[in-house]
Amino acid sequence: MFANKKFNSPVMKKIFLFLFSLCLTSMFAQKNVEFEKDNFPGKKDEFKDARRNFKDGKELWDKGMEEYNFTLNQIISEVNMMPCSRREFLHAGAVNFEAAMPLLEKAQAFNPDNALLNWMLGFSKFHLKPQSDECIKYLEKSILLNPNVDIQGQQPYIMAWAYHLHSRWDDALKYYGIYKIWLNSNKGAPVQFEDVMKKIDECNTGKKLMAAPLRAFIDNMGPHINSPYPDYSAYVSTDEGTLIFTSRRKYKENQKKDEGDAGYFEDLYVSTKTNGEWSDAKNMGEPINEEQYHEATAGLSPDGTNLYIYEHHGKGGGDVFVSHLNGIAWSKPEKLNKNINSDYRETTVTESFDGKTLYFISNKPGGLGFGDIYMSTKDAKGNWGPAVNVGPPLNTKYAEEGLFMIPDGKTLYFSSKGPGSMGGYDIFKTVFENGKWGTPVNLGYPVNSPDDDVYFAISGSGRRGYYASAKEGGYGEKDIYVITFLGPEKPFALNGEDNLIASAQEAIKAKAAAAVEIKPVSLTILKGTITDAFTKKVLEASIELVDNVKNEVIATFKSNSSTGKYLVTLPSGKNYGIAVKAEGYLFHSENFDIPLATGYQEVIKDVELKNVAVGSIIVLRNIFFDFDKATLRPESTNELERLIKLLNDLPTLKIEISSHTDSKGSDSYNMTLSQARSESVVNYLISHGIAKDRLIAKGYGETKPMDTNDTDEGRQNNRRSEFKILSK
Amino acid sequence: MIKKLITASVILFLHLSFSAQTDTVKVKMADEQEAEKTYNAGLQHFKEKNYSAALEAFTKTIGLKPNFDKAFYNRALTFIEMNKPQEALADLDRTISLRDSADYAYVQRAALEIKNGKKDEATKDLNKAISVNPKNADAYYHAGVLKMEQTDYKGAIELYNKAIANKSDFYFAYNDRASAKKMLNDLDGSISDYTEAVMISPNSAFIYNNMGSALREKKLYDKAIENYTKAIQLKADYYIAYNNRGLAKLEKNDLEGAMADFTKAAELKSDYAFAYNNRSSVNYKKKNYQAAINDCNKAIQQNNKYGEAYLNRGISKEMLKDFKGACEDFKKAASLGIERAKNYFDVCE
Repeated sequence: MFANKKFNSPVMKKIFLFLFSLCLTSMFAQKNVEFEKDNFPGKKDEFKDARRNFKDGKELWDKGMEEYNFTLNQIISEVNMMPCSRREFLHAGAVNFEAAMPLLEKAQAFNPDNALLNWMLGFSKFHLKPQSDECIKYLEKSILLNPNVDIQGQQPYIMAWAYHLHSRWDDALKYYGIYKIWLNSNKGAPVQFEDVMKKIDECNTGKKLMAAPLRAFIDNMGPHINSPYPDYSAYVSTDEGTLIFTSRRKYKENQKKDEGDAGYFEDLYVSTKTNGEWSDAKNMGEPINEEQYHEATAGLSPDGTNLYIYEHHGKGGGDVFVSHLNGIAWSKPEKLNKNINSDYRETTVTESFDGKTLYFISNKPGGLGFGDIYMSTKDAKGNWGPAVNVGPPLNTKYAEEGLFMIPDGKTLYFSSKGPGSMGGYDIFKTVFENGKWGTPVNLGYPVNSPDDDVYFAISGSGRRGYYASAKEGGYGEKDIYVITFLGPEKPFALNGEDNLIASAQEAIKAKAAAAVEIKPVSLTILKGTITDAFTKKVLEASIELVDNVKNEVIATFKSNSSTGKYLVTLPSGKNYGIAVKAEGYLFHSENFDIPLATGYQEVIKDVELKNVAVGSIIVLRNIFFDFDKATLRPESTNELERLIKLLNDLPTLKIEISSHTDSKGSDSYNMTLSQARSESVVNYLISHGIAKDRLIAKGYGETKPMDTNDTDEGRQNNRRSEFKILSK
Repeated sequence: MIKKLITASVILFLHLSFSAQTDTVKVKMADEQEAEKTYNAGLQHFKEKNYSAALEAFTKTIGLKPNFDKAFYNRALTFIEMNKPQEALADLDRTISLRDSADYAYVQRAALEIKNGKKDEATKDLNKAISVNPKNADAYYHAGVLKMEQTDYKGAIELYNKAIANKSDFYFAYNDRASAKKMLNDLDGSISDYTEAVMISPNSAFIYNNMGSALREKKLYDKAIENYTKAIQLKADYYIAYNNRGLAKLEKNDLEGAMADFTKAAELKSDYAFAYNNRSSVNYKKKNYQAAINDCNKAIQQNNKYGEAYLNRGISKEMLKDFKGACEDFKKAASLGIERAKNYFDVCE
């Protein structure tokens, strides 16, 4: 269809100049080296060999290309569209490309800078092993050396597709864009435009899906299941206890091969899981497998007892058969009825959980595209009834394949090359709700890839899926992988804390209760006991207390009649006079200082009273004179008044008033002073109405000490006035 | 005036002495005076934070004058400072029994009751304090704290408003009102109150920490980190602030910074389960799943009812394909109230 298309229009040349400049940005020095002897001076023999390899290789390659284009055109004429995935025409020209490769590689070793050679190698590698990125460097180089070497404009297209298959989305988009420009300027066919636009959409989809990959583990199912040969189309029972898949492996000597592609015939293999381990996969043997035919898995009922098998014997496009598990033996496969199988190709089926509905794939005419999903229900007799195309949005004008319904009876997984794919078949999920199928959702990366992703079986829980992939790192060709869906990212639960309540961190500083004022009470308690000086009997006596400074009586009170005790409180820091008298006793008089105190103090003053008897001498402690003089001081008044009162109370009493000094001073001086002082007292008494004849004044000087003169205290005691009772 | 009083007292005692003539007069008079002296000395010790001396002095005071309510109150404050709440409570009881109008004593008692979880008693005491003294800011504050504990944040704010109205520099009330606003998602109001609180009390590390968390919630991570840093500068062993700063750094995807902060928090408080749990998330993000599990183990070792740590360990185990272990951990987390864990039971399939 596109063979021998010439591109020699001026517009086209401009485009390729543009393309050329794009490609030379980094390797401007690259130059296309033709296989001409002048280009290899001094290497005559090597050149000859290389040119021969180049020519021979090119011849084979051209043949391969012819077959390739034939197949391509055939596909286009059949389905009126470009192939969506490489696998649709994987084998077209394969034998010749394979044969050409060693020759071309030898030539390449001699001259790595020939544009056509790089293109032929790049294309062959891409076509034979698209999953490998080995082709990319040759394709890139061919474009750098000469972007016009393929006259059908296939260089940017194949380059783009290679990038596409390796998820190099931006590079792919760039070259698809260039190819689109080429189509514009070369009047490309509508199918070509449709194809490149679809692939651009796929790249954009892929870019988006890969940016938000599904969280999943993808694990190769390991050597118990996989082999170096193609292993694919796995089906798993709901309980994940049985896995049945298709393999083209060698399982015995002298095993027959398909002449068409030189591979072993497809057979069904089974593995069972015990204690979490899959057993070694076993060829299911007869009656499931027949040695000289292809048999492939087409479906498995949820309980694992109905096995659907795709067989292609003779005419028609291939049909679906069913085998039942009876005990441990599988029954001879029976062809599903004509409501399911047609003259066209029926491939995969899936049963609903109740076994009453069957969904299957057929490419029979009347559908929406090349391979559609149909549905059939069991009639009353247990036969599958007429099939119905499930229509959009599941079916598209592109191919659908690989059905798998989970036991909820409404969630269907299937593969489609239609819109929303990132390249070739992608696996979609749709849910039947409210009487219709929901919009299929691409399962996303990494379940889907830019290559074909098909035949996806999923566990009952939806947690694990089983599918085949030819990705690098497997056991060879396609392998079966299990994908464990981890679901959306599970965010960690983190914990922080704050100190929200201030009072839990710091105590509120409470103010302490204020200080109290200490009252400066300077209080003295004067207390004592009044007793008879001779008998020691307690006495009730009258007590008079005088503030000598103020010269006023501050209290008069009595001692307790039964205890003789008295107690009085007084301010401190003063000089007091105390006079005690009792009936029939001489009164007692005393003078004392109470020292200044800030607190409490006690002063004990016990007083002994003397009977009024002739000869008794009473010391008058509270008579004071000016220093060294005989002048009475005013403080003496109270004592004198008491004396006057005594004399008035006892009008017959006669007394001697005597005065005494301490030993300081001369005897005569002291004698004179004491005489003068005693006379002062007598005079005072006389002046206050006491008869002169009742009184005698006598100065004794220092002659009659009552205490020692060696101490101050003794001397003070010795400085005194006395009266002596002379007669009653 | 004082002299007059003295004279009056002298005359009074003279009078007493004439009629009673008892020696007890002496004892009574001396003890009271001694009590006042030791009380004042105790107060001085209290102000100088010499609490053991203060305690001794107040105890002696009470021995001399058993009805001295202020001595009981001050001794209660001394006990509070010495972290002897039971003794403090007993003294506050005595204070109140001696002086029913001691609003300050009710407040102190309420504060201790709040700490002891005796909310009803505390409420009663605070109501009494407020009825005696409607301007007692502390009483409103503690009543606010009670509302906070009841998660009545609006009620708390009203009380904190009154506390602040009666004591304009009451940073406790500003802090707590900010916290209440944060709980009500009024982040701007919260940040404004925390700001006011730190202006009054610029050395209170916990306020910076709290403000950091309000800012973090507002997704202002840089500012949050600034505040946590300030809190740490004020209180070098503030493991809570380190942990929180780690969370802020994690939000900024500063994995190394977060790791360092969580590690520091764990160093400062080796039984701080939060730090280990949070650090596990850093290890997880670094795809160091075994280290994440180890951290969760440490967290669980500190607190075997730590649901989040089980959840996180389950998530980490799943990544090491230990689905059985993950399943057990998710179930344990769910049993400990982590509802989200129930969504992950598909790992048990």
